[in-house]
Amino acid sequence: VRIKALRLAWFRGAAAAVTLGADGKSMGVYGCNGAGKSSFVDSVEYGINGGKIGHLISEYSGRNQENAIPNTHTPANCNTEFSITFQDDSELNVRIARDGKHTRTGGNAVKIEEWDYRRTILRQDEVAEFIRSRKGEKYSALLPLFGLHELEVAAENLRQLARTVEQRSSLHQKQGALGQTAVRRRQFFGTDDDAAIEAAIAALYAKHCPEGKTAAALERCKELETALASRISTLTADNRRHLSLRSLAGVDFSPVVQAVRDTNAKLADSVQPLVNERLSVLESADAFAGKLEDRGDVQCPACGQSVGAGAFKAHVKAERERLSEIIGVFEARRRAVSELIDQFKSFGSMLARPELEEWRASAKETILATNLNWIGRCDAESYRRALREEDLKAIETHGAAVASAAEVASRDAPPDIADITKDNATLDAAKLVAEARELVAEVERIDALVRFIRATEAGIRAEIRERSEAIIAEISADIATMWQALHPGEPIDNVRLYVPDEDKAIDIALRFHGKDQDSPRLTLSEGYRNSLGLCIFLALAKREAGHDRPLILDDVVVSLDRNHRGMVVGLLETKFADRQVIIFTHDRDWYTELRHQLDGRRWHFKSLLPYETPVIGLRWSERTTSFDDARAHLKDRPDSAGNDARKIMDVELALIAEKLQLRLPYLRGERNDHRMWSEFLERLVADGKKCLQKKLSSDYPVFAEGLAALEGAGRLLVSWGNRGSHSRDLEHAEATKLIDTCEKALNVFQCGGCKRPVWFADAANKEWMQCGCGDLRWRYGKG
Amino acid sequence: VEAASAINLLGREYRFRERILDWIAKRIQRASEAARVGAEIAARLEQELGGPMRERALRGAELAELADELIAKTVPESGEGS
Repeated sequence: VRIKALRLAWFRGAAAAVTLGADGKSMGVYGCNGAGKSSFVDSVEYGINGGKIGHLISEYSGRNQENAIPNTHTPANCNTEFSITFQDDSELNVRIARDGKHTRTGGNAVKIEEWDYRRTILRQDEVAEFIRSRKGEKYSALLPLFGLHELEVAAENLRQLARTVEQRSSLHQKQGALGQTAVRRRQFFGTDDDAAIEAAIAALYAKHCPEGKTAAALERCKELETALASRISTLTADNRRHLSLRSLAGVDFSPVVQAVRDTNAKLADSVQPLVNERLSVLESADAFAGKLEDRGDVQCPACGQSVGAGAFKAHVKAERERLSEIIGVFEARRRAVSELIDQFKSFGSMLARPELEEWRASAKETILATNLNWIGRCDAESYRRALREEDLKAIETHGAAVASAAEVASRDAPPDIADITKDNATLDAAKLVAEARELVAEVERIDALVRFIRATEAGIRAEIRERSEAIIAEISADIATMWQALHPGEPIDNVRLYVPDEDKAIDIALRFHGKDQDSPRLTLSEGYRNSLGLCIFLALAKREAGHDRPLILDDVVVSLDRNHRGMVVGLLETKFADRQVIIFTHDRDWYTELRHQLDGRRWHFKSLLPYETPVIGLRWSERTTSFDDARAHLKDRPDSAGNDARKIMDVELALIAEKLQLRLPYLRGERNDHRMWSEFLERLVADGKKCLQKKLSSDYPVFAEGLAALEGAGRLLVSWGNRGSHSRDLEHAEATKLIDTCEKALNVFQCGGCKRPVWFADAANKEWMQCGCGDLRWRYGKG
Repeated sequence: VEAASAINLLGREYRFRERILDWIAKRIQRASEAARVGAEIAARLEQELGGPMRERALRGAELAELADELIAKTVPESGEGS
């Protein structure tokens, strides 16, 4: 699928309709900063991403980016729209309403929305951003390109499901309750095992239910309760009083109160709202940490401390763990308070039994009156809201006083009452253990379910890892080849993607002067990092070869030096000769290089005029050269215009000299790269007198008119070009003439008939190179 | 089968054959019940993983519904014991 044309109207920088006509070929598009090159790229991104342009996302752009996408000066009677014509002549038309909502028509056969943005478009800032990103972000960016996004979604859903199962089943609370039962069991049965406790139940069962046939422990406990209650109901009033008094005497508030005190020591009453508040802040901090760079300091939104950004994530994790511990303690306190309230209420019920009425009445005549009155007035449930130290002291004091008095009063109870009291206590504890067994089973099953879901997630993550590694190995081979093509013979090699030990991470490793490095951020300069990002993008794009979709590169060589920019051209020619590549650049020298080096049969070149106003919008220059940049300065700064013309000639003449294989005196080191227009032009004129020929009938005389144009340009450059750069007093008319003359001189090397350059065809003949029709020739060996 | 034969022999020797066979039967029943529940849960998750769970992040209510369903399948009826 290739792009034939992109047509924009009132879209981004475009005003009235402007068309980039590629005709399915590759293109080089030049435009100075702000000329509007990216508007074309934006339209393709809009098509792929269904109405969103990544670099425009901000709080100001509006829900549908309606504040950013239309030209700011769109007239009321004009529409913001664009169309993409594909090579099969199908056309996607997109019209964007004032509110940013859009309608699409056509283009159904191509389905541009199914293209991968990251395999199609590469922008300079995205290269830098990708290399700078954390390994988790690289993972998120690359996984969809590996076709593994669905697996990642499934794994993440399973992770959330496991958490939800834990929450919905109250797993942690149930585990806490089991812990509490274990404490009671130790208190009553010591280290007795299940069999010993079952034996104790069996002994009680044989004693109180001799006819019983039940085998299950819990059922036996239930029968025992009924049997003991029935036996108690047959007791005399005196004995029932003794029994109740013994029950009261057996109540010991100390361990339960102590449990509350222990947890209170760790947890103030006010901690719960604080925990909730900080948990919510930490949730946000955690999300924030995920997107954070490793540089600079950050103020933790949870605790306010200033921490290094790199350490921030670990800090958030530690805070979460610390809070989890606090939550655990809080839960333990809640259970202890609950147990104390239950015990106190049970104590109150026992105290209120009718058989104790007489004892209560007599006790109220003694010092116990205060204790009994306090217990009678006490609202135990209110302790769930707040339980202070003075409350605990009151429970201990009043409870212990009453229990102690009950103990004294029940000392003369008959032996079988003591027996029933003991059996009752044993039964209570044993029933608790038997009931816990069901809970143990439930907890085990839920825990097994959670482990099963987590194991499934781990399996999917292992699958992701395995597949990622296979794809990465394949891509890494391409990355290494491309890196080698851009940086031949340099001491940075073995460049590759790799999967670090932890889940959800991908990073780039390399060897720097023989030393292995886990990240390009450790050693590579910005230029090298961007070059690396370009290699990764191109390697990913290469995997799309089967779809033959276009590659769009928007200013991606900005930070590369001249040598490496040149290598990019070579890389595109060798590895992507069969693909449509559309390059946008504001680098005039590189654009000139592209024009000279890339095969004119497969490449179109166009340049945009400098941007003037939103109403004028984007405009194409009629020339492929960049002299229009110089002309843009004529009005206000003619000296700059003249200087630009001279700089253009420096680059253009250097490339022409290279194409024509001009022999120039050797210069040491970088001085070769710093030659000026004068050296090339002098040699071109000298050699041209023998080599540059233009067909006349069947002869090839020297192209005198062309040589005169070159000499004319040379003369003006000496007198006005230097003035433009140094004395800055060039006049408008002078600068205009200088630019026109330079442009005319460069046109000497282009055939007026076939419009091809003189170096267009040189393979068939070892004596000369010539244009497409053979009218213009440069003869080798004549210079 | 080998384990059952061995225990069968052991049972004859110690004259506890009936009780041991009963114990084995209960264990087998419990194991097959666990296997059935496990298979049901696995099948349910597989069904989800083949559809919504791999297409998009599930919302809280969807997760809660699925979690409740799986918990209901997992937790035994009251009194079944461990």
